[in-house]
Amino acid sequence: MDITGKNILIYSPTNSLLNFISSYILQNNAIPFATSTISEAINILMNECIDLVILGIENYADERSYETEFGLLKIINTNFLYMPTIVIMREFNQDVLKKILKNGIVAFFVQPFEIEELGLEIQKIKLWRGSILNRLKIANTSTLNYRVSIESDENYVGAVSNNIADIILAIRPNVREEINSIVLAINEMLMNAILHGNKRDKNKKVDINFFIDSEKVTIIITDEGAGFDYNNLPDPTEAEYILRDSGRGIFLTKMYIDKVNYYLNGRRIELIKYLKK
Amino acid sequence: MANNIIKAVPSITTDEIELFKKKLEDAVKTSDRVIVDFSETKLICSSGIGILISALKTAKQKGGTVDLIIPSSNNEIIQIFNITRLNKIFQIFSSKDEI
Repeated sequence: MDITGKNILIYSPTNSLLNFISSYILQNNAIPFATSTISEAINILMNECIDLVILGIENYADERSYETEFGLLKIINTNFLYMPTIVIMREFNQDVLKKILKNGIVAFFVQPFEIEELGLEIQKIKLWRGSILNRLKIANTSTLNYRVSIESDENYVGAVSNNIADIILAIRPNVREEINSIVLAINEMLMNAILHGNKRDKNKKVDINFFIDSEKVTIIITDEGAGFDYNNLPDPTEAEYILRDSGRGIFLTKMYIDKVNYYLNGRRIELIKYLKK
Repeated sequence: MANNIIKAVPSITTDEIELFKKKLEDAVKTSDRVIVDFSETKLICSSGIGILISALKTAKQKGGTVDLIIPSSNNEIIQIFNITRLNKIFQIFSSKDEI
């Protein structure tokens, strides 16, 4: 098998699978990038010329636990054009299979499997090298879509806004000044969606859609709450409210962002920031 | 008790909030006059502003205060305090020498 010099990203929450595949890849003179965290996997995808992704999916009792792995698959499928992805499942699961096929995987294995078969499968794939920037160029576009869903937990907020900041900077390195205000606005609106929209209900999700093109960045944040009356927000600068220690998120966001639009009764907010040429 | 000067970080957002809150709360507990220095700060989120206001309220209750240093060259932060009208609530100095 010839995979010499190829960069292969391996993600799995279990170290044994990571080690097993990594050592096989090393024996075949390719370079394994192994990680058990999604954020690091995305980081590697952004910064290394990855040729192939191998993703281990565990067997979870709770269906929601799969969301992390599906989330990564989705991100790969949406943002990293033509990235071949092989999935290794802990146990065969029809529902998981449906989901992963929908997200464009090229092959799947169920544990235990013969490592040589994985090698043969890798060989079949036409590996093609390209960093994210090259992939974007080849697609003849400077636009990018990023979608992610998070649980209603404020601990995810920083990771999401930082990921978006990294993606913007990868595509438009000259917009460093605008990045901080975009990050602040995303943080404010995600906190609102989690705390006021979904009221921290872990069964409710917050969807983030991010789109960048040559002139602007658009971020759409949707929660599963009841919405709110965005036309009658209290003015935090009025004497009655000025000493309140909350209620300024939207006010500040409007300072930092060029356009703020509401949809779905306030459950969905669209932020548009124009980028300098 | 002596003035207690807290130097604020360049960006007071999600990751920095807890530390900012703790520093400010501790300072208000131990000093009558706390001064938050925004010389290097360019960005503050709504929670950061909320923490400042609640520190000011706590300080006032025990006869103290929270004042701010914002250099006149720091347009980003001056603009935030002007637009939110918090410049009417806090006493703002443009440098340490003015305190």
